[in-house]
Amino acid sequence: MIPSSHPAVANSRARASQNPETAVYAYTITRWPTAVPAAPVRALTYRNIALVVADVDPAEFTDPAMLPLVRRHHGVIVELFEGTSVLPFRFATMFTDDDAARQLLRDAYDEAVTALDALAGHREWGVRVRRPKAVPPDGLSGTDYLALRRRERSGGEQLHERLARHAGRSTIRRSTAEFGLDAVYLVPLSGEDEFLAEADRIDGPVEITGPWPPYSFSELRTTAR
Amino acid sequence: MTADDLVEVLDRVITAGVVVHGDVLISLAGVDLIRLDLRALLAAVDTPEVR
Repeated sequence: MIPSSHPAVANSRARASQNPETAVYAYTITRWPTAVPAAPVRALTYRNIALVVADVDPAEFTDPAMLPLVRRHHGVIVELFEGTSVLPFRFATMFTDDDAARQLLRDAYDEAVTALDALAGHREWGVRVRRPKAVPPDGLSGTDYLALRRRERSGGEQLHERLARHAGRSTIRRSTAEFGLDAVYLVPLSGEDEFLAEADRIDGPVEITGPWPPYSFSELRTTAR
Repeated sequence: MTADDLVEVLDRVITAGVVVHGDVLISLAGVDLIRLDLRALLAAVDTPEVR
């Protein structure tokens, strides 16, 4: 464990960022109290929220180990999400030590509580509609072709609007020729049946994924110090 | 977890979630490279399928 007393902190941090042997891996902020997954996962708490962390060796973040680490990241967050609201961090977020992680939890407190409140009772769903490879009919003029593409695009937007009506928040992830729609929706539990029924009414092949923890709707503006 | 599921998970945990900035974060150049590798993996798996 890196000592937390002053003035060793600055030195230990400098040393840690050059050649860290241990880092504090941050999975997610949650409400506190809540059930914490098995050790080495643990909770750093502040008032009624917690940052769920584990000590890791940053050196293990090398290519062959990466997929199991991704699974672990997701597994911990899903386990917590079964019991409480979560504000998941991006994969491989690591603090130099507990003090730094706790400081962020304190600094981000108001923002985090607001976010957890807003996310409570919601789950994320993904909807992807692949666009069949459009084969323009023979003899289609350039103008007609552009009009066709415009209709396809507005079709995706209309679809999105229909689905977004059942969601608290929504984001189009990408808009490419390949996808008529690739979007994520933060749907209240009470509205999931209607949302999924709406998604089922979409013509053609639709991929629906979820429910997910609110990965795509989690952000914090607070900077760590 | 199937390969498809893993791709979906990757697609979220690498591209979404809270991003924290600050010098108390451990940012190994290697991790960023690995993130890029994972993105490349995603891109490779997430190519249009014939349906």
